[in-house]
Amino acid sequence: MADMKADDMEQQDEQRELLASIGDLVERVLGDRHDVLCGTGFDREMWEKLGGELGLLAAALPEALGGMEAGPAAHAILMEGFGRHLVAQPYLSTMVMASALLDPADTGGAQWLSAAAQGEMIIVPALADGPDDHALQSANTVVDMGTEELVLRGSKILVRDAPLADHFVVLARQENGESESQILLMVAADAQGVTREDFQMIDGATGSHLHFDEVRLSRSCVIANGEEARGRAEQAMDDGTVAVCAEAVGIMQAMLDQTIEYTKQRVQFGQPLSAFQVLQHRMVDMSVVIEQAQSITQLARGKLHSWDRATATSACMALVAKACRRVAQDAVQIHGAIGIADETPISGYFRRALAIEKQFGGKQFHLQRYMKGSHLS
Amino acid sequence: MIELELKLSAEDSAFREEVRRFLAEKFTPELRKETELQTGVFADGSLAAQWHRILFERGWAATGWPEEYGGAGFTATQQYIFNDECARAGTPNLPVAGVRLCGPVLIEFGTQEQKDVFLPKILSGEHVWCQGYSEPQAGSDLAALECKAERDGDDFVVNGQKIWTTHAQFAQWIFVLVRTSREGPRQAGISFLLVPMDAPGVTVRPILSMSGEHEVNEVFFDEVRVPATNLVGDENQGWKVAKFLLLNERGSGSGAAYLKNALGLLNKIIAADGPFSVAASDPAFAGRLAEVEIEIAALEQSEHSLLEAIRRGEMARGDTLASVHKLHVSHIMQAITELEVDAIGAYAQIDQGPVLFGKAEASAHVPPRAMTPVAHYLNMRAITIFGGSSEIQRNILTRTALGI
Repeated sequence: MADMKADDMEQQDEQRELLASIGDLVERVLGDRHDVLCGTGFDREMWEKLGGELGLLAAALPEALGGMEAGPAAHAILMEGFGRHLVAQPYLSTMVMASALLDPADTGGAQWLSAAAQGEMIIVPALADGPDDHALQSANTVVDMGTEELVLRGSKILVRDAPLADHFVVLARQENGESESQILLMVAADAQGVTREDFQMIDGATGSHLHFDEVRLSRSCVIANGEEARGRAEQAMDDGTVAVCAEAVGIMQAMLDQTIEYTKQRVQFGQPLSAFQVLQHRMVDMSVVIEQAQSITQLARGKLHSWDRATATSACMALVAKACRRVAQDAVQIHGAIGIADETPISGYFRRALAIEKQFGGKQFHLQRYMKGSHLS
Repeated sequence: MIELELKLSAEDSAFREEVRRFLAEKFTPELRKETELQTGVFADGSLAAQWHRILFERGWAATGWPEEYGGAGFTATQQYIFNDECARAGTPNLPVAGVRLCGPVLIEFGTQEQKDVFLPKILSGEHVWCQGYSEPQAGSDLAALECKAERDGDDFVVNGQKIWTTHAQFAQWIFVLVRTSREGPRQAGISFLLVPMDAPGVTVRPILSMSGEHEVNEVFFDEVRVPATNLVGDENQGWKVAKFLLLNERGSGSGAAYLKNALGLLNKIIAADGPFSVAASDPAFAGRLAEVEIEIAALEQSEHSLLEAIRRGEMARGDTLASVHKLHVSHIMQAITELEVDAIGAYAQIDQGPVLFGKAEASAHVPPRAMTPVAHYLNMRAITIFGGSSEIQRNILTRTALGI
């Protein structure tokens, strides 16, 4: 049973204030940053400003790494803000997921994280071999362990943000005679033998298929081994899933706000669309769905370091994926024809909402995973 | 089901233990058995009276009332804990007209005499109350009400009709919204009046719901005389009272526990060793059940967040969330009752009304778990209609959540 003491409450109040100030900062900074931080138009200088100058990227990190010590709730505030302003950015990769993969207590890990937080380095996880490798089996990514060096070969399909990466964190399988285990490696993007097939994502971000052709790595590239490697990779996937749900909440909220605003402006049959009850109720339903998404995301965030993390994460994604589809479709429908035009902001949000639904496995996958976790199947 | 822990102070944790001990002792297996056969929106008259009495003896009949009126004086957190534990235990769902609706109205708007006369009897259960709001031509459009009260010396004379009056057949008193003026806007001519059900000219006619259950009634007033001292608030100021009451009617703040209890009964229906286990092994059915569970978890988190906001003194979203939560609770409850009906399959065709409502003996060729689902499903169609229909909640939210 969780007892809450008075000083806990005080600490919570401080935390709330800190988060509110981070939220304000996000709003101020991101106001019109959409075009510069997006996909092929990604502006590295602006990213470094967000990191080094404004300190935003480090919000969730411990003070020792130059952070504000605001914890996972800061990830959520930032992701929600990125969602609201439709900033497709590598924060999810280089901060949220990298934080789970690297150990800040370890000298190497601390250095990587603080460089990432400064915006000087972009770290992109390449954990699943491809879209169907939910179990993170690394069937196609193998490492040979030599005494001096390691040799990595194989491929990772559909790695989001890969073209922006300075380093990849790669989950690979190591074969030692009979036994098999997994390993997490830090691989420089420009290392010999690393090649990329780049593509544009539907939401304006970029991605690649990565190929590792006899990539030679030193021993110091090993981040973690065995159970530890696997544990961190699973944690990173769930942290990423819940963070992207927070982004979805921001996206859906923005879509609703824009839709409400649009219905107030647009006049048909001699009155603004906002006067039609059928549209009012539809927008209320959007807001009710968003409230649900927000609540389940808050729940899942609270469970990220709990024994039922996987079940809560999947409950979250299953509900948020459903909400994304519902809210995005309604937003476009209520906008009418202008809603399907590329230049209308709502269409950009629609595409990002679609990508979020698929980024970490869709509704069906997560519903199944939830059911396994809660013994419904 | 995801277990969500409410962060509690040491005092509140101790309080929760106290509530659990109380329920373990007083909510006996006999009571549980009877409660599990309830299919209505509220527990039937005798069961409700019995459970109310038990709460009264413990001093917990009115958890939201201040102590000076004999209430338990619980904090918002304690009320949530209490409602949550009761719903988890599956205690009878008590009718709300007296303790939850009339009591707070009298405390807020009543005269000293009204408080002295009525509050103790609501508490003890001596007076069962019912709610006279809806009329045949005034449902969602409540301000269209026509039941009138005319001043005659020291009395009001009431003529007209109320409808959908829950438990009027058990009630000693009814509070009615009456038209006392036709001047100005419709809302400005309404008053809130207390009427004894045994007054000459009051007639109750039952309305059976489609399950065959008798929960609601029509109440007719024919030249019914009540003293003017039975007016609550000022004459023609009843709309303010009515709205205050409606806000209290919307949700107890522990809808998640209420739904989890219903889910618990569903799980008994589809239990692995029972006749309807086949439903649970159907992936489509299991998927629907999982989605319901997830929605309940989201609602529970939302309730916890609201409770924390109240604790911090931020009530800003309280009114909005009351409507949001009502939409969630009613929609999820209906989804659960649909699963119940789907679980028992063809048995849903058999009319269990006569058995459930005491007119026939249970039949041996119907599995006991098939008795309640259909009546529950039929009765719960009302949950999106009463207390402000879903459409009315959406009208409210258009203003409060969308700002239109």
